[in-house]
Amino acid sequence: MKHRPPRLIRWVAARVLPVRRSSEILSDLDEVFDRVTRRAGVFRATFRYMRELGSLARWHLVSSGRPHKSSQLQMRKRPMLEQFVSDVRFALRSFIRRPAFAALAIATLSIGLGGVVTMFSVVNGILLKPLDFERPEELVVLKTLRSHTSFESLSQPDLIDIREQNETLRDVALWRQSSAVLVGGDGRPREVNVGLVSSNYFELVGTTSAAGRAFTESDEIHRVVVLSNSLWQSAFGGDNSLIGNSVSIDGHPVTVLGASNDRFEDPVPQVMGRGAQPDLWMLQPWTSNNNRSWRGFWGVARARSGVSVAEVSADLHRIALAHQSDFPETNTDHDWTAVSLHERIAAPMRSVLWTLFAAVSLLMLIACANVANLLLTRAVGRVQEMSVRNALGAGRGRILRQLLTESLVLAGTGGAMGLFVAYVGVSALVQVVGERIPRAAEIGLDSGVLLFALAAAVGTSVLFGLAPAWRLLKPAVAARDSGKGSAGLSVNRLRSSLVVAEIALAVILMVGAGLLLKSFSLVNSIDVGFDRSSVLTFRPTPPAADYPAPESLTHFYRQMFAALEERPEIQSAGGASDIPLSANSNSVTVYRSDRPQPASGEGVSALTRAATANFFRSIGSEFQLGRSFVEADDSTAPNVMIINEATARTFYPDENPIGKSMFLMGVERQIIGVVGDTKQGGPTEGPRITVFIPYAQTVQSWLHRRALSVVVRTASQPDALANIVRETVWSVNSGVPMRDFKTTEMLFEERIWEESFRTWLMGAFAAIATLLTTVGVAGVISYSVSERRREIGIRKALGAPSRRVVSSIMKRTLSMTGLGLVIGLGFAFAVSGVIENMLFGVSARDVRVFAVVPFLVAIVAGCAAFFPVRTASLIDPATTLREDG
Amino acid sequence: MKGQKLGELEELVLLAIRAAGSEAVVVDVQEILVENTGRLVTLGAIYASLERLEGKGFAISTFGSPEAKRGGKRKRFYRVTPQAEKALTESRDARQRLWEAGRAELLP
Repeated sequence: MKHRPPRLIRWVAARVLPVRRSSEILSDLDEVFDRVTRRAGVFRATFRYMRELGSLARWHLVSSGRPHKSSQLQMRKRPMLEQFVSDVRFALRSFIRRPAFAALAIATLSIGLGGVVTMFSVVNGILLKPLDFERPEELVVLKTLRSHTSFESLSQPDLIDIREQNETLRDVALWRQSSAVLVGGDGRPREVNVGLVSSNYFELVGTTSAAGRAFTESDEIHRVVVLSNSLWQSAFGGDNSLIGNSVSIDGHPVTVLGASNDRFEDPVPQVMGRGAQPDLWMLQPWTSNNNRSWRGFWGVARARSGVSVAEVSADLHRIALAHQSDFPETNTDHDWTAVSLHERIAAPMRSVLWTLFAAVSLLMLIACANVANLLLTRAVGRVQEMSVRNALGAGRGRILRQLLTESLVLAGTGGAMGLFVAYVGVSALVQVVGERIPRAAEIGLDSGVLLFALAAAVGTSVLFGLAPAWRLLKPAVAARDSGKGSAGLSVNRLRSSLVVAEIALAVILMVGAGLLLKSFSLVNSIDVGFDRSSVLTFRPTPPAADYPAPESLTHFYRQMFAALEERPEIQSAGGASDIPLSANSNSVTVYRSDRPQPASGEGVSALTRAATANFFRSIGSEFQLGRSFVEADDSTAPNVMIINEATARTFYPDENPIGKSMFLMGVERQIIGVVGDTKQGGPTEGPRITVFIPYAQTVQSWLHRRALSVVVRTASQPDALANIVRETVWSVNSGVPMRDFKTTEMLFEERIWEESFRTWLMGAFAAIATLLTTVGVAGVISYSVSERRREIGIRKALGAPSRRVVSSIMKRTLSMTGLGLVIGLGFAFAVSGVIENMLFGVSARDVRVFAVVPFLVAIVAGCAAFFPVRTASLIDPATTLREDG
Repeated sequence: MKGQKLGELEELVLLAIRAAGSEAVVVDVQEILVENTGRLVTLGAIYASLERLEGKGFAISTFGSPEAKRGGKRKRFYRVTPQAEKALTESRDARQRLWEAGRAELLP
């Protein structure tokens, strides 16, 4: 009796083995199984059977392909990669053979791609990348919502209540802006920006220290400070031994706990929209302030995981409603809401950045059209090459792949150059506007940007490569055009439409740039209500140790202004708690003393400033009525105030306000003057109700600032005055730090930096687009002239005057540019609305701007046609005819 | 010149065929190889060798008459050809000479 292998395995074996010998081999296997079973048992035999089967299967697989292998099959396909590499080599060789063509194409692409990548880096850094904190999506900003005002910060008691009563937040931290005088490593006092934060702030935001540690709750009873990395480096040389030791802040020794990480950018100043990063952070204990109506705090919170911003807002709304009824005196009309921190920081930049990105994308399309045109020109000369390739057996797919590889090589090289352009562009942009835009440190060529650049390069290579490749693939081309190298009607039509598209795109950019330029020039010529020239401003901070009492501070300033005005270079000097264009929105409720006090939340709030005697004269405001403050308006004199025209219009529309009185901050004050409106925030905002109080009469209030903003009027150059001012102030007290030396012109430029930023960028894009378009049009026209050499020669030989030849070229140029102009203007008219909110005093459909563009396009056409026309008029009929004959 | 070279396994297979006698079947060839080399030479390897050897003209196969005990299937018998005998002899002589050359050097 023979032993038989298991049925299942035998069944498998029958299917694995070569059909023609399966029965023979199967019986051999059976034999082996039988023999092994006898010797070593069924288990070993089964194992052996399977092993033999495996070896047979392998043999079968290896040997079965071999006899069929023919030479034809081996030729069929080279691996994709190898093919690609050889295509790339071929492309490089052909570009080296025609360096002018390659250089022009690559330069054009590098401008287009460089621009797009630059703008994308900015968009990516500010808008797209998540904030550089731990789980940044959980961070929210708490804000006050009130009808009629944009005031957003909260009071400390309200923040404490939110912290205790919420159901959606992990924790709440508070933040307040302040300043202090710090004595640096060189022994010089300097004024520093201070962020007063609750002890949980750094932990909540989720950042690490570069040295030492951040605050903890047990620090609240001590004087401690965390330095910003930049201050640590600049004032103390990054000295590690400083950590744990003390520095002098406002005359007190304060222990340095640590220094922030150099990548840490405090998000709250960006939320406040003023951007100045704190030089150091100190503690604001949770219990330090229980005035519910003093809303000088910003709340930053971290939501519990999985809780949406909307849910947090609903939670805050619930608490706010309870507070409205619990604290009617202070919280009527106050609602609270939450905004994602990233959203809050990015929102102000969003539309500008995307608009600029869109603009630079149009520029890139123009670059693509130009390169497509270049390739089309080249394609005409390659018709024969392609027919030969085709004849030798290259399929259409193969040829298409090769042509697209060439485009890819162009785009890749252009992209690499573009990265260089972008590197330069990004550095320049960050250099110019880095201090004013949020997250500037995060703008750079990171992996996201590189990926985008790669995608853009591949995308453009298809954009500009497909049309020419398609042209070359048409079999008819080869047959009809072989030898002659004439482009044929359809190529010319394609090229003309590319040019028309280019002009249309450039026109859109011209309109955009024109609108922004007009708006910018209007903003620039706005009357800010004071004299923008010949004024220097700065901020001294008399140390608290030298001037502890408010009266002594008043005395110091009086001395200082007197000393300054003694200098022959200085015409007058004065100071105010906030100067125009400072955008400080400190405001209080005011009402006429002869009218009843308005209910809470219904009064008119007025921007409130303390001012010294010569402030108005120094800044150059003009009085409509009454007089300015004088030295005699001090704390012993009757309470007085000066109002601006907007206040007079609102409260005394048909009366003379002089001699009337108003209540503010619980004090009745007589109006002694009406001063002209000045722009307190940005130049584009309307007049705001503003009241002024003599500095000497503010000693009991928060308006009695230690650091006044000083304005100095001079007859000479204001920026040259800083050293004289410093010397003079130090002659009064050598321990007074001073900062922010700026002319009012500089203040103005700072306020409109965003307008100028977008205007100049858009202008640059439009200018480059115009240049590229001119080159593109010129290329097409001159090609058509060279193509028509023979025809023009014949015409001339038959007696056609040069004039007619020229006019036929001009006609073609003008018909292309005219069509592009019409299409572009139509598009611009349709889409210019997107920049409506960036325009001041100009409609997005401003007739004059739209009317100027055709002239620009005419200039483009003229420039583009100049050289081709010259060439055409120089064609010598005899030579041409002989050449071609 | 194809068919002149003998691989190592091919040589062993040929020798095993010779050793199996006039009616060498694959299973016997395998058994001889396993016994004499001490390693498992799989059927797959043997079939592959035999295929090559037949292609080179070193081995030929013939079918015997159907046997009742093997389900009526015919057995394939392998034989070595005179060419193979010659190649094997040459191979053995070459080895022999090499061996002796080695021994000569080792003497005195």
